[in-house]
Amino acid sequence: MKLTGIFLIILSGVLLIFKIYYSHVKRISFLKRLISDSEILKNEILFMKTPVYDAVANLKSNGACDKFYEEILNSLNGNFSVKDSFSKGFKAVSDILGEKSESVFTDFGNLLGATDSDGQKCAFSSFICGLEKALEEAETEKKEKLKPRCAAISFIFTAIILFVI
Amino acid sequence: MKNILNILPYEWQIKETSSFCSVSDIRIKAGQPLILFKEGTEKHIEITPTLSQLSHIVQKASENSVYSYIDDIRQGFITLKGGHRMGISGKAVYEAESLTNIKNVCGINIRIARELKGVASEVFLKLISDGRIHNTVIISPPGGGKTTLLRDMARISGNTKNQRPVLIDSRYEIAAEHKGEISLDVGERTLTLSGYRKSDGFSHAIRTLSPTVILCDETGSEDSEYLNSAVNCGVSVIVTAHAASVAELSRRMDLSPFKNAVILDGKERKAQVTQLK
Repeated sequence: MKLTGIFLIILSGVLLIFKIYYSHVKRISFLKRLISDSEILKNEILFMKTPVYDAVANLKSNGACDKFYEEILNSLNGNFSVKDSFSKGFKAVSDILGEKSESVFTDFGNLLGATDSDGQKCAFSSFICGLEKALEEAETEKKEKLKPRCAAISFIFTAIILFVI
Repeated sequence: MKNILNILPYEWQIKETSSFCSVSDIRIKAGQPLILFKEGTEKHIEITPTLSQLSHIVQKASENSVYSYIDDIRQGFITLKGGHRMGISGKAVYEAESLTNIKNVCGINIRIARELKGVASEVFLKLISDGRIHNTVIISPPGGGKTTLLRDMARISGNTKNQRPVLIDSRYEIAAEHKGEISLDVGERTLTLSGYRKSDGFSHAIRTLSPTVILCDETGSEDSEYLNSAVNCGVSVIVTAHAASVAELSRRMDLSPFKNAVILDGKERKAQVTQLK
């Protein structure tokens, strides 16, 4: 009975640590994907002059950020502006990205498609810069917060196991 | 009409769907009632557009991608899916002596494209002899039906044996190309150069597409060089120009390359063929 209890406590501790670790990894890989997709989007828009909807639809097949792009495309189809569509797209993935980076997306949505090529160039520079900053923050957070959290969880669960024994 | 309704604010679409049927022009001005033109009459609609609604219409018309339509916007229009032309009025932005943009859009005129198959049948027969189409200029004031007639001429020549027409559709109004698809019937043999500047279009057509006839909309005095080069290469041309009469047009454009002029009477919807030389 005791052994089963200890096993379950260890398992739940491992799962909790994995969940915290996975949320960080997911956020970082999402941001990396988004940065590389933004470069593709930028080229499509600046050099091929592809309309926003088609350019985003081309990205959708890349897979990693599908939920985000799908929400944007649905909103654009439903008569929403680019700004509102990006805002909705962000909300669909805010659990991954966290609320802090919302302004990066709404600001970009406000500028995307609304100006000529020179304006779009500036909008992309600012968006990619914002994403890189968010990525840097996510990596720092992973380094700085993940270890103490894991240590705290391990300590609590070890204490529980010792108490059980 | 669906293509036009799609760009209008949602509340207008619900309120006045039936009113938009079979109109020829929609005139939208901020702070003034919407006006629909239909067969020589006009109808005022109880909708007062705001500046933000006009901006929304421009955004929707440019598929939320102004950069993609900036060359057209500089010229004061956006061509909608289906070949409808949306003219815009606003404040000009100049940079180094050239018009770079139009901002603060406060007025819009949407001209509905009409596809009337067969309107050029009678006229076309008068322009062709020994299997060769004679150089022709189609003349009428704005809204007289030049583009409709030219489109039908493209269709007829494109369905005529041994003809290899090339259509230069600079403003996407004649064939209404959209994402590679030709929306309006311009004939099975007609090749379309969409979005080309006239100078590039004529040069491309003559060098690579082996045309027997080149059709082109809205030419002016600045296009004489390309027209002459096509005519001197043995290629027939059919073009349109804004004017009420041959005399009026001859004052600003060299008509020597043309053998015929088709003069359209916008009110009576009649086309009259006149020999120029």
